[in-house]
Amino acid sequence: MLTVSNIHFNIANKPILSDVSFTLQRGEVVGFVGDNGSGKTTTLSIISGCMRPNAGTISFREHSIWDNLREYHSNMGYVPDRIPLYRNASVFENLLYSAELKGILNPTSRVHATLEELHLRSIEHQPVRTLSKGWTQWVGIAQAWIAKPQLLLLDEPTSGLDPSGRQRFMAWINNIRTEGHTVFFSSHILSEVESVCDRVLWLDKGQLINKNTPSTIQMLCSLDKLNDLQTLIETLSAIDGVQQVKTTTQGLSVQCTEPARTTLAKELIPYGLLEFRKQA
Amino acid sequence: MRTLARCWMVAKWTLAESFRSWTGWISLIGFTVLNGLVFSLMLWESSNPQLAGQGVELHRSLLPTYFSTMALLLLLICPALSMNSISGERVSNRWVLLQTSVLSSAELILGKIGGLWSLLGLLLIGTMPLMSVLMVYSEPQWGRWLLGYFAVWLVGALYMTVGIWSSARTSKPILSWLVTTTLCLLLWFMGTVESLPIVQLLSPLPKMQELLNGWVGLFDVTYFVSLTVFLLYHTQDKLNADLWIAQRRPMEYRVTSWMWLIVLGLCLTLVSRTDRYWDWNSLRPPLSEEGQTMLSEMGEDFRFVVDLEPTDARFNRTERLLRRIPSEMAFTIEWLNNTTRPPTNQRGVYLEYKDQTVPLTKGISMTTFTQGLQDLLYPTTPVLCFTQGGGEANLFEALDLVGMGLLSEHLINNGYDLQPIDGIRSLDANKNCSLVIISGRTAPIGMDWLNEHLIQNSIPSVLLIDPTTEPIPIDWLSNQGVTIHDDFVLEPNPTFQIFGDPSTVIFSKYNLLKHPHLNLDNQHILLTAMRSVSRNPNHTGHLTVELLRASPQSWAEVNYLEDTPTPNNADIIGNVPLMVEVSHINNDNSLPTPQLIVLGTSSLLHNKWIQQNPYNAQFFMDMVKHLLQEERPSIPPPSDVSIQVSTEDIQYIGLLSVAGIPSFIFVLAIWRRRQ
Repeated sequence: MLTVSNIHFNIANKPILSDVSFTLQRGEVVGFVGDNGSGKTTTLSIISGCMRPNAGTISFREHSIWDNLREYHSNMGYVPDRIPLYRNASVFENLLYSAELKGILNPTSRVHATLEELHLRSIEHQPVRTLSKGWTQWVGIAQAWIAKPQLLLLDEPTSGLDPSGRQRFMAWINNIRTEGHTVFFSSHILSEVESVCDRVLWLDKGQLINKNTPSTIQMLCSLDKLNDLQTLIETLSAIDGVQQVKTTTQGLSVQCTEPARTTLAKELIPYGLLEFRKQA
Repeated sequence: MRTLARCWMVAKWTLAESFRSWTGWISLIGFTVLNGLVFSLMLWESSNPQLAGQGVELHRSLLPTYFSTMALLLLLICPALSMNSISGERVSNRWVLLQTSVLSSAELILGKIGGLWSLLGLLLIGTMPLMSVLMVYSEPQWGRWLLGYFAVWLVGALYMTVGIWSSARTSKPILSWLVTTTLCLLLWFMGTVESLPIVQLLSPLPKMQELLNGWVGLFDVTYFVSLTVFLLYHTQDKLNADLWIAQRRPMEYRVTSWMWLIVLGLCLTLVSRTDRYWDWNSLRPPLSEEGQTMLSEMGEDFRFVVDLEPTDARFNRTERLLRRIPSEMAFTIEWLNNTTRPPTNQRGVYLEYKDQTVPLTKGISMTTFTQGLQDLLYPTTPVLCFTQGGGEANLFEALDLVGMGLLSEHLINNGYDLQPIDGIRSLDANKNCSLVIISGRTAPIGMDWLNEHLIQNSIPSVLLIDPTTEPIPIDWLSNQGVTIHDDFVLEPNPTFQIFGDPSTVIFSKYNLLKHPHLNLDNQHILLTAMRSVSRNPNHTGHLTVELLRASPQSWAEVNYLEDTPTPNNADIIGNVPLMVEVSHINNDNSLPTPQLIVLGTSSLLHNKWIQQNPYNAQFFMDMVKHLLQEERPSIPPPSDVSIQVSTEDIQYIGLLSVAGIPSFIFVLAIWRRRQ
């Protein structure tokens, strides 16, 4: 559905993104992870049509998004890292304006439906400035979802959510996936990304890491809390694609290929995995 | 239609957003308070006792000043209202929401500016209750009122457009505010640089003033439209360019952008060349009766020669001028081109009559045209000598309220040369004076001096006598062999001074309304104050005359016969008949020639009073013409509706404008925000 090909993006001759290419299929949930400053937000910004790359193309349904930006934007929802809300307007007003900006024919009924779907009825008349961070994040998600877009781009969508909110968010993502919507979201929390995503794209210094190149991943979890470290190491070693598992002073270090990471993450979550970090 | 609907949606949101916070309300309340203050002060001026009950001219004085001040207030407010329009959205990251909408950048900008213009409209609507107050006290020309609002809205809309333009170019709202305020101030001040017409051409100020004067020129409106379109186009172009943050936009985008701009510029230039205009000012005569008389007198001998390129800034003015001349006036108009024009000619307009030519190479207006006609018919220029340096008001000072610059301008416009002379003692050294005007404290003028230098030498003179001047006894004048046309009593009384500005009252048996030379039948003159006088028992035979449009409370009118009048500042104001004319009887028994005119005070010729009532200058010029025995025609200023509000009423109006309307808006704001 969306094809990103050979995107290059430089600012003042400093490369921010280099030769980034990937595709997103209909009904796919794709995670997007990387260190701070690796270029995730820039990538999302470019995919959303807010910036032009130096080189490369982005096609939506086989057409360049720049040829018909209006058509693309009507099928795309974007939650940026800072939620674009009018603080003095109520939640309902914000969503109604977003619906109108998306060119929805009957915006009011669509807003009501979104409020129901995302359980925002209780706060619909509150000014945004009075909302907690978590609620603000939900309103931001509702804003992007207002037109029920085919493609949903989310930049750190769970950053303000509490654990139950995150669970609810994951459940909602799973739900819209079944309806055939494509979700592309970035996060620092690899565990949740890997738990819900069909696949994960890893960005490092503006470059996507090759899927088939084994990479070394450091898992930040307390070894003291593991009852049976040896069993865990054996379990992980048995996963297809995992090439080496060893302990270090900071935690477990696993060398594996890109496709193995999702399975790896699912195995590790019950052990209290805090964070995946790709080693330099 | 869909585009319009989208723009309207953004405009509605922008407008609503202003009133969700206190920004819009505070702007509205602040603007209403300041505007109300200005309005009250201007009305208060109309009740100024020194205006002698005449009030302020509504369409020539009050409304243009009021609307100009309103536009100046908007200069302070509009940059603050527009600073957030784009940079504010960017700072709060809301711009992403707009960028990822189905709206194009042009629709977004049109919507945004539409919201700001609507907000501007609301600001102006907030002032309309004040204008309705004027209806109670005057008969307005609705066209001028609407045009005033239109002019102010256009200027405000331009400020807003500059605001959104700079907002798209700055990263922070405060920077946008700074840039907008600076640019708007610059545009404003460019309009005041009279020495550089090309700079003035770029300013909205002269265009607004033309509109406020009732002149709707297509060129002026085109200026606002084209500048607005230009700025809006570049704003949306900047937003499109911002997408190319990583690199310079490809050439095809830039070329398209400039091509559109060139096409737009060409279209607007073509439109402006048609030079259509609408005159909503019924106070502006096309050509004065006197001008028409002169033109008729010259007939077909008069030629109007235009030696201007169509691109010349004066070309349009010339065309406008010619349209204002009645079509029945038979004269020749000749348009010179490159083959017919003398190569040595200075570009301009030339008025030709018989062998004479008067060039209009600078200002081309009805005034300079009429001056040209005068110069053709009356080639010799009378020299009016004014005494200066003895405490008199400065002859050429136009800004100071007690200067006489406005009078000078009027006299020069009507073809007179002015020459300051250093006191009456140097009069003998200035033999070229056609007429002498003596004022200030150059006096006291002794009777002998008066006789020796002025009357016996047959030098026509005007005395603007201050109280320090010695009175002129009637019997003395009679003994000198002069006929006194108006029987008068001149009684300067140093006991009373009003507003620190002493003046002299002259009572006359003659009803000045019927004076053969003053043309006072449909005009009035303004005088600073009437001085109370103590009755001279020897003057029992004199009548108190009907004071010329004096206020009903005029003490001098009512109680002149009282022996011991009590001065009261509140009831001694009013216009007074103040002229006396003296003619010299020639030995050959021919008709007496006018020789001397005595005015009670010079203050009626000060800028302050001529500003309020231009007829004061005309009145003086009529006397000059009479003394010079000229039939030189002149253009009388047209009459206007005056407005005068009593001091008590002004208190209520002031309360309404400064507190009432803003309080109502405040209550509305509270109610709206609680909803």
